[in-house]
Amino acid sequence: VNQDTKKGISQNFRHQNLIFVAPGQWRSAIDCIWATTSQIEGKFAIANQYVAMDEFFVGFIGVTVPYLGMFVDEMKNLIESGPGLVLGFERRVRNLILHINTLQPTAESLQPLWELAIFPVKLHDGRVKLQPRSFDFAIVDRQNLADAFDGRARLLDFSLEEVWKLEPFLSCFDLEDRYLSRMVEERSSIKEGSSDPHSVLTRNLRRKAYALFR
Amino acid sequence: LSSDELQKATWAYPSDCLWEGPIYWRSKTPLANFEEYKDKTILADFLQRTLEVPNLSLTHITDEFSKLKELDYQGKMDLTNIQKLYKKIDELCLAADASARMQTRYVNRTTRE
Repeated sequence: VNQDTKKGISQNFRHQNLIFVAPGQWRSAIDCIWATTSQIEGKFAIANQYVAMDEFFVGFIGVTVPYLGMFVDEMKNLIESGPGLVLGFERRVRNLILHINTLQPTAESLQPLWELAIFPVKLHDGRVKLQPRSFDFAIVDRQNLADAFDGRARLLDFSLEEVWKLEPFLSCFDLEDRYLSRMVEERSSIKEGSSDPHSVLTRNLRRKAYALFR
Repeated sequence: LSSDELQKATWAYPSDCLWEGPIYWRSKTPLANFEEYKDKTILADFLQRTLEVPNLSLTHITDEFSKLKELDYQGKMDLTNIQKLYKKIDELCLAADASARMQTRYVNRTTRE
């Protein structure tokens, strides 16, 4: 057995369908990715099936570990192909956003997505539509503001937890000034007619103030 | 080939046999796994040297894939076997690397001498 045979084998894996993808498919190394879920159209994720064999599949056979650029391209292709032909289009866009977010994106690496309608935005009438960055929408980052603005503003349609989690992704699009916590100024005021001091509360406060500032 | 739970005793061409190989190998039959051939040096020598029955090596991989695909086509493939096959290929490659390294070392030494 020599090095040429070894090289021949890794080449065979690349050009012939020698990887068994359960259930019942044979694929080449080029068709496969080393990931647990398949987020890339036409690629088969095989890491679940061949646990702890990454040295063989990635190191030797040359199966690709998906990288940021692959997902950015996938997003671009998905948006360009449009919602008409793709099942669960919006959900796939959301999943891609959440996934790209985990891959340490930079503003530069996400440049190709800058003009594309990738942000799910809830409109006044409750419908959710994918919009580009240039569309005027706000981002809810506090529960009280979420309650106050629901149905009154065009809001990025991610849950509060997701918005917090998506900070790396959103910051690449220069969206800091869209966060409601920065846009909203909170003011307290007293309504006309209720200016009579509450006697019990006033006494309580006086006592505390005395203790605090003694 | 003697009988086991799966099949009756039968005759096979030397070219359809391996000497050492894993028990799950489907495209050729590894003989050293059979009770009848174990610990019999003269017999082993005869099979390996005279009949040229080889040990399993990377050159046998392609045939095994064809065989497995055929089994898969008949719905008789199981994932654990293919996992074992990939592990075996990995093992054979590592062994090939190790022997290549030893060879280079040997060549280096002999050229120095």
